[in-house]
Amino acid sequence: MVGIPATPDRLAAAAAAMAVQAQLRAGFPANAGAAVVLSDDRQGAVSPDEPLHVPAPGGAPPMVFTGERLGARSALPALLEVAVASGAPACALVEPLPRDGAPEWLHWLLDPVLRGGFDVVCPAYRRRKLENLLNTGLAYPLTRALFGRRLRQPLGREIALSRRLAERILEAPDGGPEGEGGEDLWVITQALSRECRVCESFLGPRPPPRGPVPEVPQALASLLGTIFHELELHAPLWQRTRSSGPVETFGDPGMLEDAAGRPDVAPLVSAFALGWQDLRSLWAAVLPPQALLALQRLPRDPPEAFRMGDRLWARIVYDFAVGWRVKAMDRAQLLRSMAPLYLGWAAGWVNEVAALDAAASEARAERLCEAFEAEKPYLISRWRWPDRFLP
Amino acid sequence: MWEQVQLVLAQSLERLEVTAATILPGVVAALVLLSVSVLVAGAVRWLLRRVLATIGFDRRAQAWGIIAGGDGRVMLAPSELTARGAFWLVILMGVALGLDVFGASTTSALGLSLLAFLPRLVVGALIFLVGVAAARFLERGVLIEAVNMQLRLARVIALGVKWLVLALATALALDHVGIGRPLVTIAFSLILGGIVLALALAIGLGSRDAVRRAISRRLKRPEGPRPGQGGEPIRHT
Repeated sequence: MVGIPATPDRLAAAAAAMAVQAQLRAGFPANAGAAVVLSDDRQGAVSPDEPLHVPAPGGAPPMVFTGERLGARSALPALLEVAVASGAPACALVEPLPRDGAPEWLHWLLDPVLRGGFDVVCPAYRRRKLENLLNTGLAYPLTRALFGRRLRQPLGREIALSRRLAERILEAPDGGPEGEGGEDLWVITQALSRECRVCESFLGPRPPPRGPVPEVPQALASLLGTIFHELELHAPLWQRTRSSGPVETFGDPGMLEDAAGRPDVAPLVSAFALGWQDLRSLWAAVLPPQALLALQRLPRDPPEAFRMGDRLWARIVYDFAVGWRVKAMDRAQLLRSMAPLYLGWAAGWVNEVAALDAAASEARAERLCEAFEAEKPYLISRWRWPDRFLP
Repeated sequence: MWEQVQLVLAQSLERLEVTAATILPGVVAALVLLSVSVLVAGAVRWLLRRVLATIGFDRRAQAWGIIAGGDGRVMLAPSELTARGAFWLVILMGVALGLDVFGASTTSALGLSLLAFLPRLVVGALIFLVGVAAARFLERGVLIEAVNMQLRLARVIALGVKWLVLALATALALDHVGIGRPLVTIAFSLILGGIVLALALAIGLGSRDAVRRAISRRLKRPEGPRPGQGGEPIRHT
């Protein structure tokens, strides 16, 4: 069962569902399954517990009503319900993207569940080294340090999972994904917290998304809101996890060629400097004096010399997690106030990896993750005794 | 002669006794009320300290934006401020009741007017407190958004929003309490109207070009695209 959210483009979702249905017939002829459009509009849609009619080739895909909740947030729970109700052995939530460059993407997404016995397939994409920096700097190191599994791209916005896990998630609902666009990460943390079998599949290059790309503060707040929410829910689990291990990987994990020319980091450094000038007093509610001192000492001129150390960055992220937990200020404001810090880290990251080849940049990402793992005792300590500022 | 003196003294003492017998019960009652109010105020302060500490009022007040946190400024904790405010409120009520039972017409009228004034004072203080919280919350939100939009005058804009809301809350609170009603309304209208008029004149008339230049020079970043948007091969998502 493959579900495609009708939000924001219903027509694109229907076209993508027809294409996926054709690929299912070609790739899994014995048990083709169905591709459905997950719509928040009741008109022309069936409830998740009603029987589905798989259309003939070229026919309109069935539409499933996702409930009163609007947008993509309601898509995943509805997909799980319809997959369990129809007895599908696997289900996947995918985006309506043009997939011309990677014909086998659906095979790599579903096959590990259908034939490999995995509970969750986390999709990954071939990218350039300066793409998806939120993933490289936050999602990957954080989920790896916290849950002990090395999922390179836990922010794939797509996900495949087994019927067994779908049933377990539906049996023990914890409120669903937090925030818009956190479905994939939410499912992954659900799987990691239940110690399910998780793997990663490289689906080829990621097609450019339709519609407007969210601004950095919005994307950052959505990502960290989801992770911090899961941190609060699964505190005993991640505090027990002391190291990380690799997950099984399918597909080709190569990287794309970089665009020509060195990127301009001056706007990023300027954003950080402005944040330091105006938001320092807000950060002081979350960051200990040592971190503030370290931030003050970062050289801003010239922009190409700007660096933010891995250890400092990891501690800043952990401090914000603790600030989020104790509600040091309004949570949405807290997360959005972190944007200049993230942009500062991104400037330093770009300065470091711009001249590196793909393998070296991956090795650099590995060192960043090791710093997050090394600083995890600091998070545990502050999480347990948040009023203490440790040196 | 001596007998007359004795008579006058006796009459004076008698009058003093009568006066004392008339006033003393009121004084005693007022003292008792004052003592009881001190005891009740102390109990209320103790209870509030315990309850507010239990529910983490100081932390919540920081999260709600009633107080600024972590920037080194020293101020009384909100829980202590609330407890002390409640203490003095109860004392004030005790004084007002004491003046009322004292019996004299002037003090009685003073006590009654004080008692009638207290509820409005409490509601006025609450209005002001909510205004302070709203002002700090909005200041912080505007500051964060303005910094994320790369506005150079982010702090000035945030401070403007904060003081505007504070002025509005103060005017509302004073109006509710009944202090200088027309004066407060007129002053607030003048200030707000003046600001709006000045901005309108500045932009609409002579300073149009200067304002445009100032906006492009100070508000907008002169170089390069905004981080996270097109122009550079760096993608965050």
